[in-house]
Amino acid sequence: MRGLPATAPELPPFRPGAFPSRVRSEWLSARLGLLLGSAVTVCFTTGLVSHLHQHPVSWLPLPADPVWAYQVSQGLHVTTGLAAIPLLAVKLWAVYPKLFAWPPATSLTALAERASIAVLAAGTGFELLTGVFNLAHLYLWPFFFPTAHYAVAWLVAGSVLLHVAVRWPAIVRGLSRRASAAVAAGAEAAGAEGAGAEAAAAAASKPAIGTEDVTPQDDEAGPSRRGVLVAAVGGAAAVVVTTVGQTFPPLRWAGLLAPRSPGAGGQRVPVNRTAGGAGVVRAAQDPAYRLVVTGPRGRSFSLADLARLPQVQAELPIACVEGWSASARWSGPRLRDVLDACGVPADATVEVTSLERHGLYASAQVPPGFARHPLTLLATGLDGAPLSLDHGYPVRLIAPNRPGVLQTKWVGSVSVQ
Amino acid sequence: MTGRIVVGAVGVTGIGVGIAEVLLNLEQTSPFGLAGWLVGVLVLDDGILMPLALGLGWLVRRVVPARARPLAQLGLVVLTGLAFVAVPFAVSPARGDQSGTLLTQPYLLNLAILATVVAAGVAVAVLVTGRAGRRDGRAVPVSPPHSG
Repeated sequence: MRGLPATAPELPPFRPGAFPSRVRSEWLSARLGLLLGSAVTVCFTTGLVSHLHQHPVSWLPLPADPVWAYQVSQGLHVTTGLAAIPLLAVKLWAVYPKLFAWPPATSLTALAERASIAVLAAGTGFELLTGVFNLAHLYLWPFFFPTAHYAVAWLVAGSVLLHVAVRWPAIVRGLSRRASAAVAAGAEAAGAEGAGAEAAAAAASKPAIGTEDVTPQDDEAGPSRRGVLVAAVGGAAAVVVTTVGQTFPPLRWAGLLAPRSPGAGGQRVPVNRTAGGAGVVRAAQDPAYRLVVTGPRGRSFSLADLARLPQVQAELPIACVEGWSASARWSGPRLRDVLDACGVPADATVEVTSLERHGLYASAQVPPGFARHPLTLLATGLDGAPLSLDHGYPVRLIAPNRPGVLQTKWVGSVSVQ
Repeated sequence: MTGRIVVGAVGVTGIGVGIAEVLLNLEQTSPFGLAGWLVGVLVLDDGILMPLALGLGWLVRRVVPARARPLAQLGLVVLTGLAFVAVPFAVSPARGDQSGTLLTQPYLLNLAILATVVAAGVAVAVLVTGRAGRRDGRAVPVSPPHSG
């Protein structure tokens, strides 16, 4: 590139031998990339599912079954995101010397590649950092988290694919068995002879796989390439084991860093938004409460009216966008029985609206596949007791395979879209 | 080659979708704030965290005996990942919110417990691998220094 000095700046990271570890290599980068790419793929896919739940499109209706699908997919989303933190950290460490390669780019194509890597690194770091901050309810930004998280997820997914396309030959070399053997043979030669990695590569087959960013300055013991890989996987495993209990009850005992405990809270189900926080304490306890349903034969229902409809019990999870979930036994009339009583067409999407006047999730659309599902309830009871105020008394929506933010609490009305 | 071009084109399309999502939702994405965060993440990583990690690696090379070094570094990687999760939870003002169900644990204490467990695990592994090395009558390396 014109305008840049031919020699690197006289700064420590640009000097030969600035990065003494000899384990940085295509072998390591490719494997770390594979692990991180797998986590990102699961995270992106499950994130799309969550986005589709919250922004449904008519050409891709989501099924209401299996009832636990969102619980699993969002649990995976958060778990793989958390697991990706150590993987990303080690991957960035493995390629850090490339940041100081000189000249920074030799062509416009190379410059574009470096720019795409910057987008990839910044985007992935952004997704993981803001994701953790969101779990911690630390909102230190000027944007609306779900929208920004979704937009940057596309940037990350796109730049991952672009990176794979550009680096494909190096990835194939790094992952090939022959490359692995060559690296191992080379490294052993280096260890035996006390030589540097360049000599090791010469002892191995060509091309000099595994030496791309190796600077043979440090003969002191350090982790092997496999050791670094084990550390990355170990770090990911430790984060998963200590947090996944919020989604996966058998590991609840190990959840020392879990942001939620599924058994905590009133009626042993966690609460995100309390009745006090939503400002509905008085309205929800008003003796004159009526559930208003619009439709061809629209009418209102008192709690006694709802109790006269067939009562159903359903074991369903509350599955939060934050990854935690808790199953419970809900009871009340089916939404479809209420809709039928008002003559609402079977193919109608309905909108369930809370007594909450403000709030991002004060109302939710219920597509017909969910509204007509036999386990979708206007619940009035939880685990054999009346709903508590914080769980949505007097009536809340509970449906299968649906994010918790769409399980509207303190339901005041149901209308046809 | 065709496959690479297709994958690359899909990637560029994905990046385009991301940019479009930002631009079509200006009120919610706050593009300048978002760009600031993206640049900030790069600066945080490349300008602060990586130099810190390299400095820590330098310190380990000088302080920790050679035979224990690989396992010590493994332990540090594990602890770093745990700290990244625990610290935001520990400092969040949302702790003790009205619901009483969010961030209810003593995360710094739990991180200290986990650090103790990891350190103990590293110490035991160093002892065990050291004994195994002596039994075999060879120099100790906990793992082959540069094999892989």
